[in-house]
Amino acid sequence: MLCGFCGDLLKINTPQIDNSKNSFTETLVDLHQGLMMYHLWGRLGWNDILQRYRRSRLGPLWLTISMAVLIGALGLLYAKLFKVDVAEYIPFLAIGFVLWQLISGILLDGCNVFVHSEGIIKQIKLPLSLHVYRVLWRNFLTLLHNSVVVVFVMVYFDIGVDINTLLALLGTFFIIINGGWFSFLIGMLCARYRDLNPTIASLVTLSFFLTPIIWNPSLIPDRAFILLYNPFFHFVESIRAPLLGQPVQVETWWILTLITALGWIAVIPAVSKMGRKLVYWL
Amino acid sequence: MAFIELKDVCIDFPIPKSRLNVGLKRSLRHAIGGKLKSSVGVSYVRALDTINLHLTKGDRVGLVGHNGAGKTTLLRVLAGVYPPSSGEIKCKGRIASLLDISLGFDLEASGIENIFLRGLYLGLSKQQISKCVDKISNFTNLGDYLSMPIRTYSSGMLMRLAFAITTEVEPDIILMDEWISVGDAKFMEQAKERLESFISTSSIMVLASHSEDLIRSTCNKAILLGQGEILAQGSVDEVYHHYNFFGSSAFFNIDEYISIHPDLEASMSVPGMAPWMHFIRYGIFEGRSPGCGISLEAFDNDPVFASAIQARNGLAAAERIENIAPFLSSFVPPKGWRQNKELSYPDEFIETDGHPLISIEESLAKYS
Repeated sequence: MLCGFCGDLLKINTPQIDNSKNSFTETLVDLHQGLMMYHLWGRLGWNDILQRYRRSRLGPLWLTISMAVLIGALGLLYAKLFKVDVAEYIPFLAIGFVLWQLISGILLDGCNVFVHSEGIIKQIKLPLSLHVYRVLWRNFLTLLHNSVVVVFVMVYFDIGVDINTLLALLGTFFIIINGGWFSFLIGMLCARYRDLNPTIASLVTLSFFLTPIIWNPSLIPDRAFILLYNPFFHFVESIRAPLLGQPVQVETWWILTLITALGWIAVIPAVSKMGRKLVYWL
Repeated sequence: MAFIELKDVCIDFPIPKSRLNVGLKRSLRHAIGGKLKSSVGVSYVRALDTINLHLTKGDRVGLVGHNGAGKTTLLRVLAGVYPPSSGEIKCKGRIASLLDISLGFDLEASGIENIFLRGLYLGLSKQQISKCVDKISNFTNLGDYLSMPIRTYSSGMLMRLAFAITTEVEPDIILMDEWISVGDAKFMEQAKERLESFISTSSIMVLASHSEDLIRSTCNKAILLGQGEILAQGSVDEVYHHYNFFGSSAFFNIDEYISIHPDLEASMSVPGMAPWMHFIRYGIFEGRSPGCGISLEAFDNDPVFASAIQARNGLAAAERIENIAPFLSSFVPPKGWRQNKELSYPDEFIETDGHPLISIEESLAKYS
């Protein structure tokens, strides 16, 4: 009556309940098991996007369209306000805006990663990291939709592409990988402390204005302080600069590596500690 | 071989203190549900209290108890969702939980797409699901509906879909919460057949339900939960009699009954003889105490009790004890027992010397 085949894989995927295990390795196993369920989180992440546009004719294409409209309108307006060349400003704005959408998307979704999955977490034992991968994947897919606009803008304004442009991929990788530890940690904290979520939301809005997305970093005479200590600047710059054919400061790469390393090193023990209590907070 | 073992498992739900004022606390204590306890900073609701359980191959267990008794929490512990606050849980075998019909369903997607989605939740790969998808579709009997978005389904149809997928993966342990209540008669028949077929191969099933018929027809064991504790466990008959006669916060204490009447040990080993049964059939006529500090001498002058005994109606006599017990000054309530607020004071009861009654106010103050 049943496919015996199904059983074998299930055996691997069904986590065995065992209290004696060290919770530190438990977290690593969780991260690995979650990753291996890529069929599931891949599907769920994509479903999240589809769901937003169900029964609409254009579907997820709306992501691209609304981004294009926003960049077109803001680009023309601010180029005039800042008195800069449209051909220079629009590519700058387009890339920055699309990246900010990725960053803020991960930050805001990260807060709700476990709270919104309450229904699943309380019904079935699955690796917690699965929900994190789902959020990252969803935001990555949104990025792909939005980057159509970037490609279009770059072609239209005839921006040259060379081998250095590939560095942008490295920058994207950094954003996603850091989104991982951030969502994992903040998702748990937001489940425990429900006031944290609105706090983060308002900080994200603030950061948007503090980070050079709509204004050019060269506008600040003394570049060092407000930019050097703004991690978002480095994340954005590591992608925007290569795409625009500008050099990336070496310090940016150092800072990104440092944030990534420290983030993951700090988060694994923290998550190991909170992981077992999470379901009680939901 | 599949097994589940729970050793002194407790589940405490934290409630931050600021959200729990004194009045609420008092009313919560009266309300249905677990027991409140607090330590510094945080209050806890103890949803499960020192649960010991051992289930092996072939066990089909029905969980019985009123709302808030801990049935769903226990299922979730078994599913590995709640790590125990204290105690130990050992579990071997593939678990499939059917606690929530709609788990992982995407209402806008078609039935077939949802088979894939649910299959992924259960840990299958896409290829494996493709192999099973025909069998699952056949079992659901949904025909062309499978290509429609499932938001158009009735709850019974969703149930069919969920049940078909969950049982198709051949779990060793299947956990179900009130699953069949929405199915129609034909589906219930089909479902029972399938359950029986895989139970016979190696599995454990745990089912929580308020439907006595369902538990009687699908389970071979039952557990009575009350306020997060196991009040009785054994055959379905035994547990239901216990539940129906004494309720889920029984004043009749099985262990105590056996320990204060050691001469009963031999008769207890007769198959089908439960302590409560002995009490109703024989003990009550022999003047044996049911435990909890209740002496049957207290009923010597009571006309209601006397006429029940005379009519050889053990059940009516036990009911009388249950109504009077909370007012007996010597009454020692079992763990987790609560005074029913609607209980009226037995004016017609005639006290015996040495066994005075307390007033209704005293009783409420004492036991709530």
